[in-house]
Amino acid sequence: MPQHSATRRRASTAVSVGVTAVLATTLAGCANDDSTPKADYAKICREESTQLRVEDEKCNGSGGHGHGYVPYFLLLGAGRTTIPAVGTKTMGGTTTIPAGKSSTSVDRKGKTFSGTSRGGFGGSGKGGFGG
Amino acid sequence: MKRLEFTARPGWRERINASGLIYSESHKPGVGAVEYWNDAAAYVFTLAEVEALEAQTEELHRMCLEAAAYMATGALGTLGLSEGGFELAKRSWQEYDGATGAREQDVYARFDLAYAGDGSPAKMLEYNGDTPTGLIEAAITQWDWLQDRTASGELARLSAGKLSTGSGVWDQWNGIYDALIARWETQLAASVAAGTGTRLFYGYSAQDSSGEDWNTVAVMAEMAQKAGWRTTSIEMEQLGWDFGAHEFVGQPENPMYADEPFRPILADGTVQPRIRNIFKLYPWEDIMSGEQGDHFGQLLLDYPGVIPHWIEPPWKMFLSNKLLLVALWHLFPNHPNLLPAYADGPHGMSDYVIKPVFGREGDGIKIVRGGTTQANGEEYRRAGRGNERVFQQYHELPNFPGSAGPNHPVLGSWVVNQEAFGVGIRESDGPITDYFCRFAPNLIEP
Repeated sequence: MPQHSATRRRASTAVSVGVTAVLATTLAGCANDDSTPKADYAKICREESTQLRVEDEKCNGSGGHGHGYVPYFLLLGAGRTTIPAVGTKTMGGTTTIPAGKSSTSVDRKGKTFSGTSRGGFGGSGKGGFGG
Repeated sequence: MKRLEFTARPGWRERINASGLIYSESHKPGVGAVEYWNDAAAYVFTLAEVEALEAQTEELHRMCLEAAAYMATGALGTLGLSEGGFELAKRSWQEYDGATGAREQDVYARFDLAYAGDGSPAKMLEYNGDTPTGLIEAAITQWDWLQDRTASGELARLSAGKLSTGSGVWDQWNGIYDALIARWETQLAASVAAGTGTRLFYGYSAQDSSGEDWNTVAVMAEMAQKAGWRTTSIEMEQLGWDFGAHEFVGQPENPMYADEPFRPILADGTVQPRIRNIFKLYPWEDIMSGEQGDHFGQLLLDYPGVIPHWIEPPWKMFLSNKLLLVALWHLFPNHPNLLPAYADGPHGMSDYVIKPVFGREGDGIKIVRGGTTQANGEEYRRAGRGNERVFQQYHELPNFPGSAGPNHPVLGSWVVNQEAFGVGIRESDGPITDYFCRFAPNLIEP
């Protein structure tokens, strides 16, 4: 059983709270989180015969379909971490996306997402979680 | 125990704000602005009373650990938690550290005790072992109050001319600040020994608009810093799951801040730090709910130990659940510090209180006296999965009337590393210590 001395002073000896010190703790939340995909799909342009990614412009012209270039959508999020660069074979996408879903274009060099998902804690409504 | 009244300190509002208590005013419908901090009153203990209450607090805590073991067997079901939540709590309870032989370590918790002030045994109303608040006012603000009242000579005048066998110095039942720093030092040594580093993230929900949650974790983080931790704030919503590496990460940061070498560098040159130690003011029952926005909990089951150190650890789910009261009464019936409590009905009690299992700050409490419902609190916390409730015997709080009317105090008795270290007292006009109660400092008379 813990022993407490009868003559021990109960109050803490030195309590100092520096409000500025508190504000100065490392706030890592300021970085722009560029690494998480913001849209539902990535939109690229693909040559059907070779399955290669081509320049986006090739899908913009009115003759696009006739030459075998089609817009191609790759689902972002949990499964996909890489969007290929122009000249790379790409598979596993779709040529249409469901209504209401968003897409974003991707640089010709391609992109590697960090594959980090957020927003999986803290969503239970009102604050004031202590008691 | 007595209640004394004082004149409020000049500039008291600035003083309490400087201590971190910035959330003290709230709005009560039908009444207007209500001030939470009562600068003009204090409850006074004798040293003998404090020693007795400390001993009772520590005994209750040991009983609660036995009750947790009982709850972990599933004897009371899954306690209103999700099945994943119960499973995680059980695993955490059963895990012992091979090196130290100790259970996953905890830092703090707070009992709510009813005490008549006459030396009779205190009665346990509840235990908040997961997310206790009231920390700033108990550890810091009331300590500042003691320093000011001592420096002004008011306390010396109170005891002038009275016989005293002690030192003649007015004390306060409040060693919380020093105790927490010491506990954080122990946690730091354990983390270093386990190879999990010296960095502590502190998590809070950005949805709290009062500032209480943020301020509480910030003050706790400052204590951890004084113990030697390197602390980093994070919103719970910002915690990231890296599905390639199967680890939890913080926000991207400059690699020069990294606490681990060879972290993968992102396209923009930043790195994401691994979360290995985290203090959170966010309830476990929410983390494990599995609902959208709290859907990462399953990862804690699928990847055991992926976050090695949570404060508080998952087994605290047993000590932040009202069914704890039922487990205690079952194991220790008629114990002088307990009130009868049942899960399935009032069991013949004519005066009883019905509490939802995850309630906090008095929410959802219903009081039944002689068959009539006398209070019917609105519930705003998560309900148990099975809408579980606890029926606890009604216990009249003592009244220490003051110049403004009745005052019914509840003692918030703090436990740090299994020992009692101080009390924060909240007084209310009515029988429920709710959101509009007042915090009054305490003193130990010489």
